[in-house]
Amino acid sequence: MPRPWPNWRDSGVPSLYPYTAEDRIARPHAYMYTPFEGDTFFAAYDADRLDALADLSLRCSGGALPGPLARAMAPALEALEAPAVPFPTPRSTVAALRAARFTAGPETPGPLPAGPTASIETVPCLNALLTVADNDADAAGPWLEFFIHRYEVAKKIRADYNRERGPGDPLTDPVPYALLAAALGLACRQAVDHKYLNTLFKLGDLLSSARSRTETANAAGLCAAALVLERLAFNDLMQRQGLGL
Amino acid sequence: MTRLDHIGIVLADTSRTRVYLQALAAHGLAPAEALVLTSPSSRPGQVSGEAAKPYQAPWGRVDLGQSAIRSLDDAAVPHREFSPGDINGADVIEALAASPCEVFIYSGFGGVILRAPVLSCGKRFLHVHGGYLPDYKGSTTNYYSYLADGECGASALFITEQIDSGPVLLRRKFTPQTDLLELDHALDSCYRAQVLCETLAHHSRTGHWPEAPGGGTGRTYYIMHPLLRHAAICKSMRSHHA
Repeated sequence: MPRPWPNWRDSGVPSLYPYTAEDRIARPHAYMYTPFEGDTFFAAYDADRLDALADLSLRCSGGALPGPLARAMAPALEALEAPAVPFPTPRSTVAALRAARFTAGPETPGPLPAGPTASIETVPCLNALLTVADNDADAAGPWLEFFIHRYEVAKKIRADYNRERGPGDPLTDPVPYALLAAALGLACRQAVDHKYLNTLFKLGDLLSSARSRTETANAAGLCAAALVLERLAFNDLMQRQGLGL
Repeated sequence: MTRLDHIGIVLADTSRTRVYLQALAAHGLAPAEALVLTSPSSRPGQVSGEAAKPYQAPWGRVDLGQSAIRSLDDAAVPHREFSPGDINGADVIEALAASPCEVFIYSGFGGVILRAPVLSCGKRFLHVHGGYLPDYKGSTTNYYSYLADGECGASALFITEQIDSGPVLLRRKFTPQTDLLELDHALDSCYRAQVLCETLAHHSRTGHWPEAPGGGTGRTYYIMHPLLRHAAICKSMRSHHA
């Protein structure tokens, strides 16, 4: 006997998306035993992210993005507008993001450190990770795994990770979280990886919930870029699994 | 009923424990003794309300509404309660160390990690991971494997300080015959229970613990975001109700 489950298009009223109801930098979510809400949940998530993107798109005009992200934005926005995506993005939001005219900021400072056993400063490392995230899985993989582990266990990213004196202070600015999300989003454009997707969606919750912390056009633009890449990954997931149609 | 000599169980009254105990009984197996960890408040893994009901398991019927204590009493397994029950607590460690059992099946509250003191108390802890090791280590792994290839798994191993990294004794893959809506409390527990019973039956029959072939380092997964979890469940519902 098929289990009757409401389709969000039939009801027209998506449920609220609870995972961004609080600032997830201040109060991380543990995601333990989360309830199942049927496929109305996809619409609730979709609505949350569209709201975040619309908000950020109005505040990121003229912002500078790291080079790899600035180069990725035009094709990413085109992909958002591809026909038959399960969850389309309103033209007004895409137009606002195009109108932001992101510029490529200074090229990333230096190459990735030799390996995750090195002591690192987080933000420069994440910027370096962006340069390989969509073209060199062998180089990017260990660092993505490093940051995924740190974030998933501690539910925060630290300013640095020093082998001798331990991890540094927790970061409360959304920018480092957006950098990691963008790196994961770029990696997901190359290959299906549900582990990467998992952390990307959690970071998406964080960026959506904490967007009031973005004080500059650069920061808003970086968060918007990360959410654009997350949205592409979401649509790819839905298409691959035959959902949302 | 075969009394498992020198094999006890340390448990909390969770859905997994309820399935374990009923599976053991259905397979004619009974632990020598039980240490019961209790909690004054609800803990992860415990089942209540609508979920506390009968389900169809591979070996027959299992009732998640039947308490662990009831199952222990039905099987005449001597048991002792610890309140509050903490597997890493001094009182539990003392009781474990003093027990004549050499191995304890571990089925505690969700999210608890066994620390060095209890792992050093002289006993081994038999655990069944809900995933096919070493490929799927960590949390909520059957959702990940289902998204990847439509399969779930369970793997028996002795607990070490490295999570999900002890030598695998026995592992099985399962193709779900229903949707994944009941994966957390029923289906996953049934897969684990089946592997547990097969592992214990092997030891009872041969006197040795099985050893799964193959190896590798595998990959560690983290608790699944609800979006991915919904994708897995909805995929399974479409597959089973198409």
